Amino acid sequence: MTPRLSMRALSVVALTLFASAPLAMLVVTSIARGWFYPSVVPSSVDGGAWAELFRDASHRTALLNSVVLAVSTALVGTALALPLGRAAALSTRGVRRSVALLAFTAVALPPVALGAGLQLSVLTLGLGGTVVGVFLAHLVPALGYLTLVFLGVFTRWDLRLEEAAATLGAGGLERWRHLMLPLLRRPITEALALGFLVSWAQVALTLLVGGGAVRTLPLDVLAMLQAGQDQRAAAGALALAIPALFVLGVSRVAAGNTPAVVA
Amino acid sequence: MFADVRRVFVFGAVCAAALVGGCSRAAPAAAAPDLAKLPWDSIVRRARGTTVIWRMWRGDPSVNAFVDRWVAPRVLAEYGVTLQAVSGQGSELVDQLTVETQSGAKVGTASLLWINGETFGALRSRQLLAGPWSGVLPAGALVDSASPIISRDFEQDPGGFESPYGTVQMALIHDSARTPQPPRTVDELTHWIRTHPGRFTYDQSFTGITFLKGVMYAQNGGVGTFAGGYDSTTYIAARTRLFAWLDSLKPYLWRKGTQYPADVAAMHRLFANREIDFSLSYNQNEAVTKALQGVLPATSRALVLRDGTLANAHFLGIPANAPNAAGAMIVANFLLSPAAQLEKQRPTVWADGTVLDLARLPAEWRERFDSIVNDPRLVSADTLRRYARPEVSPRYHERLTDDWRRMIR
Amino acid sequence: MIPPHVSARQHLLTLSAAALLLGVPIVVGIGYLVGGAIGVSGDADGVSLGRVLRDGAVWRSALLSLWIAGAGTSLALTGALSIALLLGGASKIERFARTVVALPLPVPNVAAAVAVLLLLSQSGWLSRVAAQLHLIATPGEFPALVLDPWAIGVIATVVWKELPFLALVAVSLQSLRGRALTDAARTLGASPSQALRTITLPLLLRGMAPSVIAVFVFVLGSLELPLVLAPSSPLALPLLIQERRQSLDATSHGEAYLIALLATGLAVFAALVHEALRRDEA
Repeated sequence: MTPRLSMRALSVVALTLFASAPLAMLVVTSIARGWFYPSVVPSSVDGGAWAELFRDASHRTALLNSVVLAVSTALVGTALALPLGRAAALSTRGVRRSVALLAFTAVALPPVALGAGLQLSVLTLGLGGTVVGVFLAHLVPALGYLTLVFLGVFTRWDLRLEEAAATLGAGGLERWRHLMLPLLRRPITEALALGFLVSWAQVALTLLVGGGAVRTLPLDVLAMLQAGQDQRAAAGALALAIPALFVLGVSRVAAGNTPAVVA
Repeated sequence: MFADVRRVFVFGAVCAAALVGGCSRAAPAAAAPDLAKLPWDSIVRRARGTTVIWRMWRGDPSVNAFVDRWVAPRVLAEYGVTLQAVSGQGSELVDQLTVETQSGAKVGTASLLWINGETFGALRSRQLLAGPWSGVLPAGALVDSASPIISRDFEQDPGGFESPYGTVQMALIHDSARTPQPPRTVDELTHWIRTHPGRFTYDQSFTGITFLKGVMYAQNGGVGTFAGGYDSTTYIAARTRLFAWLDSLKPYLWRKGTQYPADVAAMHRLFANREIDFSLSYNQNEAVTKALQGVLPATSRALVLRDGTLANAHFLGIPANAPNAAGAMIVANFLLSPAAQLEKQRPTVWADGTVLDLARLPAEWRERFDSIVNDPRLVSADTLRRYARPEVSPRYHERLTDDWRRMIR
Repeated sequence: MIPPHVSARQHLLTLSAAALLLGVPIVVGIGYLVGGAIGVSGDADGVSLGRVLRDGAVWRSALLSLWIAGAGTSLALTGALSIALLLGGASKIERFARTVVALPLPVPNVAAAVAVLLLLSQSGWLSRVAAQLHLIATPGEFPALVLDPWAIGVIATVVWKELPFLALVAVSLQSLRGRALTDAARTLGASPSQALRTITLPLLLRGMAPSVIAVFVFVLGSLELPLVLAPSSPLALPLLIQERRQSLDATSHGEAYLIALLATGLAVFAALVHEALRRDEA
């Protein structure tokens, strides 16, 4: 082994530890009961926290809310952002940049500030403390992210294929079905995953717009942590991390396992 | 232009809402004070088939389990009322109701609130609470109305705008294995802190400030000095002494008094893991319930300071914009029933003190209550009673919170 | 430009929809914040901007938040560049390393914060290992990495979470253009360090600038990371906004909206910089 190679192997080991240690910590804590300083290894192991997570009706509601919000944010966000990004990309430079600026602002606004503003508007609509209200709030940053994705995609888009199809007599619907959607498979998959994750991880917007009445998994994890229930919080944190990893993994596989450039 | 844009947005959102289905709320039902003039049977009838959203502290799985798995199925079976507990406490409630009212929506979300002290005062002064209504509850006849801790809420007259449902007392928590001879007075505690640098702190939320209030009262001739409404001169003098005490202790506190744990849970985490030797709780029985949950070591015990520890009651209120006041009254009444009060007081359930006058209960219920308070790990009822002190004007709490944040933190 | 097969009317309609969907929530949200700050909507008394700007607590909070976002983003960027340069190749071990390091990418902030708390606190797992090895006798001897004045725990979480994202961008930039240009520079006689300094790094940094800004503002606005891990004094900006908002004092309420507005201004400024730096191809 050359020194250069062993250095590289060493850095790979270090990176592996760095990336996986926090997740491993969650796994162990989630099954460790009454695990206090200074013991390095838990003395008693039980699955109570996991059982509670799925047995307790309010946790189940939170989980359901989270899934419904994330899936609908992904679907609606992608369905809206695709035509928006495309229209912006086909426009003049000025329009394109303005849309990009708006989209990034939606992403960049601190959720605490955006939430405080949206809270009042959602209440005015009579949607305070409802899942629909929270969904509308989640849609704001999600739409920002996804518009940026499709803006990037369509800025590099080759229009000649569409034009050729149109010349050959393919109607709008046919063009989308047989040409555009297959070509857009990768960005759409990535957009769905991104939309899902933006909503799935959301805390501040849910808290403010949902006003405590809409429970989601991230809020539950926070509540368990603030109740000193570390074991349950760890189980909840994994219940958050695992589907997120799964969604990203699936989207990578479906997209052909090539890295994407987002934002 | 702006108005047009907004109208389009509102229109779009309303369409979306209509699509997803049934989100517009019904017109407000009868208000609580009007209902309170009706016979109880009529309230029971109106409540059948309705849903009550109860905004409460959701920070303890035992409390949640009591509400979700014991209370909810029973009010559903007996009264046809669906109880849904959601999160929200203290100033969050004030914020939430203020914003709801500002938005112009006539009906809010929650019909029942868990409140006391300064939250009650703030809601009441902003006219966000409905009432009077609590006099109509049949189970109210069993309440220990002679107790100063239950009949007054931080010296405020509940005035029928809130109904009591539990009592707690402030305590320190220590590990009997680690600290077998804990300090028992403020003076002993001061000495202990100085001889054990870095092993003591208090949290920056409600409980920590209550601990400081207790010390402030002890330093100034007891809580009696502060009784009878807020007095600025008394407060300033007392605060000066308290902050001088804190300044002198600062180098001996955890992290030398530069950082404070966010809440009691953070205190428990530090205590259980031996970063500090005392935790705090505004429920004297938490040392035992939290040990049963595996959050605290099994050898944890509560400790009440001989200078007196604050005790208070928690109450239920109905917001002025409650969508279902009738259902809320049903739940409030159910929580006062001997069965609910007894279940709530079990150390394995919640260990929340009863507000009932046991003398007014039938003998068999009295025996059941007696049998659960005698757990040897708990602080004895006599000790608790002897050192219990009522809360005074919530203004002291508010001022101390603000000043502590500005001057000490 | 609009291709002939797309109707101009449809195009304009979609564009207006874009402006509405993206713009209205932002305008309405900010509008309500302004209303809340000047006391039009809301119970808040009108607060003077001067008083908020003279409030030392606001500045200390802003500095802490900027420090967290700045230090966290810089460290994550350094890590990402190192990965792109040292492990950016196509060999099996390099591809493995890149997959592993991407693991934290989708993990929600709350989950990451819980994990870091359990790992890094003074009674966390690392401290316990140190105690077993007799490096420390009490938890207090372990360095304060959580709830600490330098917010090291928050910064560590930021690095763990954001390094994968920045590494992804860096690696793809490097494989798209960086390597070819570096090779060209080497052929023209530049030394490895010269090529790195004058070609590779500037190219990568230029390409990554928008992503770096995105990470920076994302961290700046995060509520849950400081909630779990940051010091109590000073409070991170989002926590200060929440604390003032939930104060029973109506003046504090208005201040909260005003501080939120200042934070919003910071975000809009970042968006402008982002837009200026973004490569607008085509």
